[in-house]
Amino acid sequence: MRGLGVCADKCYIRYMFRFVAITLLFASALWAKTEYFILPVQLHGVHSDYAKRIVALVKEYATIDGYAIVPKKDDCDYLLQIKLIREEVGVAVIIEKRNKDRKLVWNYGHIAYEPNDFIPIVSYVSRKIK
Amino acid sequence: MGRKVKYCLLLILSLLFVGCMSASIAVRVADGRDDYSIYCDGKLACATSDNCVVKTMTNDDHVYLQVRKNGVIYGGVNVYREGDTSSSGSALSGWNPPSTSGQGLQVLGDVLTTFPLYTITYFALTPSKHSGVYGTFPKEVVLNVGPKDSSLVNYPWDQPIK
Repeated sequence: MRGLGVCADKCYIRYMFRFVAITLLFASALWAKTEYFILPVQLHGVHSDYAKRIVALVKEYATIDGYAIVPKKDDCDYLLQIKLIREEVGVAVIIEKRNKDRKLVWNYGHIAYEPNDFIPIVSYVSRKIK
Repeated sequence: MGRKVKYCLLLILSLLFVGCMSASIAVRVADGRDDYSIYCDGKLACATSDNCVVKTMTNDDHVYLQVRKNGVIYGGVNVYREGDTSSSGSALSGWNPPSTSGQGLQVLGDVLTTFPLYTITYFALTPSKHSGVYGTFPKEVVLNVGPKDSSLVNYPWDQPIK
């Protein structure tokens, strides 16, 4: 009888330990942020100042929407390729989400007629990729 | 008896037309170019903007039209049905209930046959996500491409930010 009691106590502790470990595992998966590395912005007929501006906006919206921009490519889950291509009426902003092996996962393209048009574009993309 | 047959035929006809709220909208891009694609509610409606007529069967009170070129969105606009709430009333006000001068059973028969007709016609004519407005889409829509502020045309993108 005594042996059974000791086993019950040990089993209880073991089960509790497992329960806590599994809960922590799931919780960490939920808390984990998707990590992006921003590749150098591809520019066609656009000054590099606009690349800096759009990258700064992406970083700002990453904080708002709860994903991370990492400084090293090795640490990321996805790559983010931004292209600014001069068109007749404005600049085509193309944002691509790529796997680490550079395979295209999702992309979005929108024309910016002026630099302030970057804001709604980045805001939309940020909500989509978070 | 003849009247009942007439109402039954009307009922069948109204059932046939449930959901048939098709509309055609001629879409033009303001800059006159024809190398854009037109999308209606996210689906390709016209491969080129030349002589584009968007056909929609929606019961919603608006559609979202978008101008794209090479996968890049150049602009978009919500197009709403034109009309007011009185048009919804007028669509039904032309219909007069049958005469109730007959006997009791005749009246009951009329009510039983016409009530579903009235109800089905109402739901057939009323948009599913309506905002109390019933109407038709405009026949022609011009989609603007380019900055709203004319001073931003030819913005110096190749120069440093001031």
